[in-house]
Amino acid sequence: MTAIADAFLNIRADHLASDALFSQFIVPPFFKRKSIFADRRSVRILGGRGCGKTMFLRYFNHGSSLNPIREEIPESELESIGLYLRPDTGFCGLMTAPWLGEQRAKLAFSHYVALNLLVDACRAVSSINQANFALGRLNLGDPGLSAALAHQLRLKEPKVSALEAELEMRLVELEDWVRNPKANAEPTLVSFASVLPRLAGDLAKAHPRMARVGFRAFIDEFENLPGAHREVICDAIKHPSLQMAVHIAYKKHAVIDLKTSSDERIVEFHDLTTIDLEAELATGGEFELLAAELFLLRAHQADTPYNCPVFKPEKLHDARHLEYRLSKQYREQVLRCVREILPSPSATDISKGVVADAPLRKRLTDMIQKGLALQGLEGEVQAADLIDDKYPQASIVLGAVLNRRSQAKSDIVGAYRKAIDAGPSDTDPFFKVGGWIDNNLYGSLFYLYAGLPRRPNVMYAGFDRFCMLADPNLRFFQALCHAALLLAFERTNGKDMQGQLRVDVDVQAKAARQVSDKIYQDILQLGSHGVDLLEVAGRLGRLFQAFNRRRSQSEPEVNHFSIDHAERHQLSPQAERILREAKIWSVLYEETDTKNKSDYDIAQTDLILNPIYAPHFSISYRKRRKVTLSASHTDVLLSKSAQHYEAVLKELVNFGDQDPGQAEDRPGLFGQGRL
Amino acid sequence: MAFHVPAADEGLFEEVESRFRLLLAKHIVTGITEFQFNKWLTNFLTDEDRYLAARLLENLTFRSQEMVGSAIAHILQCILPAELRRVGLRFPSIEDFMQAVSAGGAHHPVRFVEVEGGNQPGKSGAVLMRELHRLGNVHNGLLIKAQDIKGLTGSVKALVFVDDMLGTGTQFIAFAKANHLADETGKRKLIYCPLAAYSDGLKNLANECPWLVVCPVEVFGPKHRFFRGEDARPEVWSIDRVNLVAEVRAHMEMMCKRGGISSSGYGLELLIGFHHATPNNTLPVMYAKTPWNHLLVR
Amino acid sequence: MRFLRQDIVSEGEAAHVGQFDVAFFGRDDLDDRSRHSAALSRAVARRHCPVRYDAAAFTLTVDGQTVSVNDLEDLFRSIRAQSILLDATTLEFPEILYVLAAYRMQSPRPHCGFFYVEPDGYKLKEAGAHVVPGSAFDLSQGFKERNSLPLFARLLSDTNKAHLIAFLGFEGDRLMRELDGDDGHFYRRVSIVFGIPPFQPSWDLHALMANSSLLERQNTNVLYCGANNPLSAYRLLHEAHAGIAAGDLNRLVVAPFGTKPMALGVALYCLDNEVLSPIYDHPVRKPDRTFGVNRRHWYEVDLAR
Repeated sequence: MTAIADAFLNIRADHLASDALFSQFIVPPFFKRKSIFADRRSVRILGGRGCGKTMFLRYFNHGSSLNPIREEIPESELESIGLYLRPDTGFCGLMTAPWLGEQRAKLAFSHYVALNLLVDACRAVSSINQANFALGRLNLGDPGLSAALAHQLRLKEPKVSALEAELEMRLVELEDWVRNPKANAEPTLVSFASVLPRLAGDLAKAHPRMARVGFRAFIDEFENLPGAHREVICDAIKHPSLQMAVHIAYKKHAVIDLKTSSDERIVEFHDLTTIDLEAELATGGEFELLAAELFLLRAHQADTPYNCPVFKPEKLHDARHLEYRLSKQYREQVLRCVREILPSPSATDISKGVVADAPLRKRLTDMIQKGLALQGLEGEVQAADLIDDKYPQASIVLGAVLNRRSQAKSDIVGAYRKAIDAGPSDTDPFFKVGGWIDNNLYGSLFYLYAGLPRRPNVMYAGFDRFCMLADPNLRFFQALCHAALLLAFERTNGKDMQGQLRVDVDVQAKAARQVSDKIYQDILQLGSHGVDLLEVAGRLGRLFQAFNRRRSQSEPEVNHFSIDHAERHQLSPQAERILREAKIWSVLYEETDTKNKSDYDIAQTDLILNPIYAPHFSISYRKRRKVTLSASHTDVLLSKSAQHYEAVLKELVNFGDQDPGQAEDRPGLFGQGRL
Repeated sequence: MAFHVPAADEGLFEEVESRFRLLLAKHIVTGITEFQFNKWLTNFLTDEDRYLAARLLENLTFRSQEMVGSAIAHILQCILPAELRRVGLRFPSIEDFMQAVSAGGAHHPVRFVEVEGGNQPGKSGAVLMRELHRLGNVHNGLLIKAQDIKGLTGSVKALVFVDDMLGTGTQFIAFAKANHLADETGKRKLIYCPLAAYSDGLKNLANECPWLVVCPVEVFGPKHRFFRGEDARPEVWSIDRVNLVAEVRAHMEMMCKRGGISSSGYGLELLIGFHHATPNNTLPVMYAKTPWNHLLVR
Repeated sequence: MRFLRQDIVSEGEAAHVGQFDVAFFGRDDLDDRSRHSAALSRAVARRHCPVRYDAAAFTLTVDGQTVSVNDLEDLFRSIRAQSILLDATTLEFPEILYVLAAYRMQSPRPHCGFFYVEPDGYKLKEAGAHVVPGSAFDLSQGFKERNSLPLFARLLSDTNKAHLIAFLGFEGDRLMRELDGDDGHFYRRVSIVFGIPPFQPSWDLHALMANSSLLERQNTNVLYCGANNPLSAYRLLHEAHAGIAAGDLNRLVVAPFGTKPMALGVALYCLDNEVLSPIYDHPVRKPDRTFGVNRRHWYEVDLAR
C-alpha cells in the first residue's frame, strides 16, 4: 500500500529490475512520429536531467524488450538486442594517458567496455531463452563459442556458460591492474568493437532463427568520459560492424565534438542520427499528454480511485497501443480527468480572488492610488471607490495603465467607468480583443502577488501550469505532484481516499513554490560550476523580478533576454563557458527568436531562464516579453562581480517605478561578515 | 520599532519548522514526538511569536544519544589518554587504553564517578554512567558513586567525573564540598569532563576548585546566549541584526507571562538539550510545562 | 595501525612533541592557521618538504621532485626518514594519503605525527552575493573534475554496487553533486556523517543546515564522529566495513568531505584496508577562507602495528 504522495517520489531507472522498468516506462508519442533505430546507423540520444534519458535507454535493453511479461515478440528484436553500459566514470579517469600511457589507456578502456557489454550479452542469452516470441519460444541452451573468442578470453570451455563464469575474474584482473599497474600483471586486452561482433557471429550459429542476430550497445553518460575514451567509442561509430551498432547518450551541449582517434569527424546523417528527447517532448502538447498519463499511472499504482475509463495502464508500455493513445478522444478525456484533479484557476477566478483577499486588495488599492497620483487625479477620485467586484480584471489592469506616463492626458478613469457600467464589449479599451486586459492582466496579477512573496501564488496552480513550469522535465513534474499531494493528503494511502481526488489551488500554489525553491537551491550541485550557475540564475531571476515589480507593467511579463546575433559572438570566453554550463544543466535554454518585435530583421538569440524557477522569483513562466541586452551587459550578468551587476541592474530597470522596501531574497542565514 | 519579523525573514518560520520535522523524522533530534512538537508550536500565536520560535529552534544545540556516544568517545579517545599521561599513566596506544577500560579490573588506575546534582536526585549523573558503559564500553566495575571513593585502594590514580552540563559551576562545587573531593588531591588526579560547559562555570571552578582538572567536550560562551547583542552594536540582537535586544526580551517576557512561565529561567539563557534531560540554564520556553506546552523535557 | 596520541597542545607544548626527520606540508599561505601550522611543523623537523598532488597527472611533487603515484617508493628512497611529520592543516587528503602510502613501503616504517590547527572562524560569503542554505560560506573557488585516486580506486559495476559513507562539513553541495552524478546507479546505500562534537558549538548546526536536503533522501542514514577525532572516523569505517554483505552491495566508497581530522582517519583506514575506495573532488581553496588560530591538535600513529 502506498501513500499517494510517495508514488510520485523520484524513481530512478537504475533502481528498477528490468520487469519493473518495463511497467514504469511510458512509450512517448514521438515513437509514432519517428522511427527509432530504423536503420543500422548509430544514434545519439540527447537529453538533460529528468527528461527520461536513462529510462529510455533501459527500455531498449534486452531485459525490457525480451521481458517474459511481453507477448508476441517479433523476430526482428533478435537483430538488435539492446545492451547497456553506464561507465564508472571515476574509474575510467584512471584509464588515461597520465596513468597508463596513451596506447594502453585506450586499449584498457576498450577492454573495459568489452567486458561489461559481454556481461550484459550473456544475460541477453538468458533473456532470449525466456522470451515469448510470436514464432514461439527459442531455446538456445548453452551456445558454443568459436575457438578464437575462447582463446582471447581464456575460457575453460568454448561455451557461453564458461564465458559468464570467467567475466567476473577478467574484471577483477582489469581492476587490479589499473589500480596498481606495477604490482599487477597486465591482462590480455580485447577490443569491444571486435569481440562483440565475434560473439554475435558465434550466437548466429546456435540456431537458424538466430541467423541475423545483432547487438545494439547503448553507452550512457557519454559526456563524462575523457576525450580519449570518447574517441574509442567514435571509432566504433565511424566504422560500424554488421552485428553491432553503437549508440551514445549525453546531455545536449555537453559534447561539442565527436571525433575519432584518427581525427575524422562523426557526421550527422551519414554516421549517426539524433534523437533530441527534450525537443521531441516539447512538440505539440505531447508533454502534457505524457505528464497526464504519468500522473494517472502513479495514481493507479497507489490504488487511488480516479475517473477515466479510457485510460488503460497496461497500454502505456508498448508502442503497439500508441494509436489508441494518440486519438483525440483519449487525449481529451485523460487531460480532462487530470485537470479536474489539479484544477487551474482562470485569470478571472484569480482576479476575483484578489479583490476578495484583504492584503491583495490593499496592494491593488495602493497601486491604483499611486497611479492616480501620477495622473494628477488624487484629489478627484479615491482608489478604493474604483475597485469593482463584478469586473475585477478591469480594476486590476486599471492599476497598471494608470501608472504609465505614456497614458497621461487620456481619460482612463472615464473609459474604465464606461466599461464597468456597460459590461464587456468589443469596443472599449479594456475588454476588446488585444485590449488592456488581454495584454496586461497576467503581468498585473504577477505584480500584485510579487508584493506578497510568502503568499502562495495561485497563478502557478493547475495541471496545465505545472506542465508549463516543468516542460520538458518529467522529474520536475513529478516533484510538483509529489509536493502537492503530500501537502494535501500527507501520508494517506491511496486506498483510504475519501471522495474524489482533488487538490485545492492554494495547496498546489504552495507546492509550486516549495518545489521551485528547492530546485533552485539545488543548482549548487550541478556540475563543478554549481556556484557560478547559482549566481547567474540568481542574477537573472532578480532582473526579471525587478521588471515584474514595476507598477506600470509597461512591458509585462519580461522573463527572458536576447542578444543580437552580431553581439553574441562578442561575449568573453568566460561568459561563453558559463553560458554553456547553464545550457548543459538546463538552467538556461537558448533559442533563436521566432518572432521579432521590431520591424528590422535583426537575428536574435533568446536566453530563457528555466520556467521551473519562476515561482521562486514570483515571475511569469509564459514566454512573452524579453529585454535585449548588449554583449557587455550579458558579460556582466554572466561573469562579472556582484557590484558590477548591481550597476547594470540599475541601468536596465527604472527603479523609480517600484515600491520601496520590497522583500528581497533573504541574505545569508548567518548574516554578513564573520561567523 | 517594536519587535517585528524582518522583511527578509518572512519565510523563516516555515523553513525552520519543516527542517525540524525532518530532524525529528530522521532521529537526529530524539525523544520528541511530532505530536509534542505540534503542541509546542501552539504556544506561539502571532507571526512575531512564530518568528521567535523559529530562531529558538534554529539555535538549539541538541544532543541525541548517539551524539552523546560520540562525545563519550571523545573523552575516552582524546581527553583521558592525554590527561592520564600527564600524571604518568601511560598506555601503549589509545586502543590499549580503551581495551583496558572495557576490561576493568580491580587494579585499573581509573574510576568514573557519578556526579549527583544537589536538588535533582542524580538523574543525569546516573544516565551518563549508563551511557559510559553502553556506548563507551566502560566496564561496570569502574563506575562508582561518590561515597565509594574513600574505600578505593592506592592503585586508583585518577577519578573521572562525567556530567552533561557545567553551567555556573555551583552544582559541582556543592557536590565537591559534600564529598570532600579536595581531600583526594594528594592521592589521585581529579578530572571533570562535562559534555557541555559554560565559560563562566569554568572560571568559577578554576577559582573554587583549583585542584580540579576540567576538560569539557564542548565549551559555550557569551556568544551562544540567545539574547546576545552584536559586538559592534550591543543593543542590536546579533541573531538577526535587525531587532533590538531589549525588544526581543520584552517580547519573550510577554509570551512567557501569557504562558505562565519564567522568561529567563536560571539566567544563562542558553539553548542546549540532551536526549535524557534539559539543563536548567536552557531557556524555560523550551521545557516549561503547564499551562505552557513543552518541547524538551527537563 | 595504532593510534598513540590525540592531544590538544599549547603553542609551547607543540614545540616539544619531538624531533622529526622530515616535515611535509602543503599550501601554507592560505590563511592564518595554515601559516601557523606549517611553522609549528617546520620548527620540529630537520628537513622541510612542500608537497603538491597533481590530480590530472597522478603525480606527487615533493620538495621539487615529481614522482608518479605509481612510483611512490622513489619518494622514501630519496627522502629516508625514521620519523615523519605531516601538517594536516595544509596538506590535502590525497597528499596525506600518498605520503603515508609511500612511507608505509619503507622498512622499517617511520614514526608518524600530525599537526592540525583549528581556525577561529570561516569566512562568510560577500554581502550581496547569492546565498542559499549550504552556500553561506565562501570556501572554495570550484572543484576539479573528479578522478578516482589511483592505488585506492575500485571499479563499480552492475554487480559491484557500493555503500557510500560521506563525512560532511559546511559545503552542502559537495556530496549532493556526487550523488546527483551517480543518480542512484552505483551507490545503493548512503551514510552521512556529521562532525559532532564539533570544533565549536553551533558549527554543527551549520553543517546540518547545509546538508538538510540529504536527510530527505531514501536509503540514507546518519552517523556521528568527533570533528577532531581521527580515531573515531577510523572506527566508524571499521564498523561499516563489517557491515558489507557478499552479494552485489560489496564495495565501500568513502567521501572525506568533512574536517581534516576526519579525513586523516579516513586516509589511515584506507591504508590498511583495500576494500575501501576513497573519492575526492579536489576543491580549489580560496585564500583567507578561514581566519584566526584556535586549538592545536597533535596526533601520533604507529604505522607498523
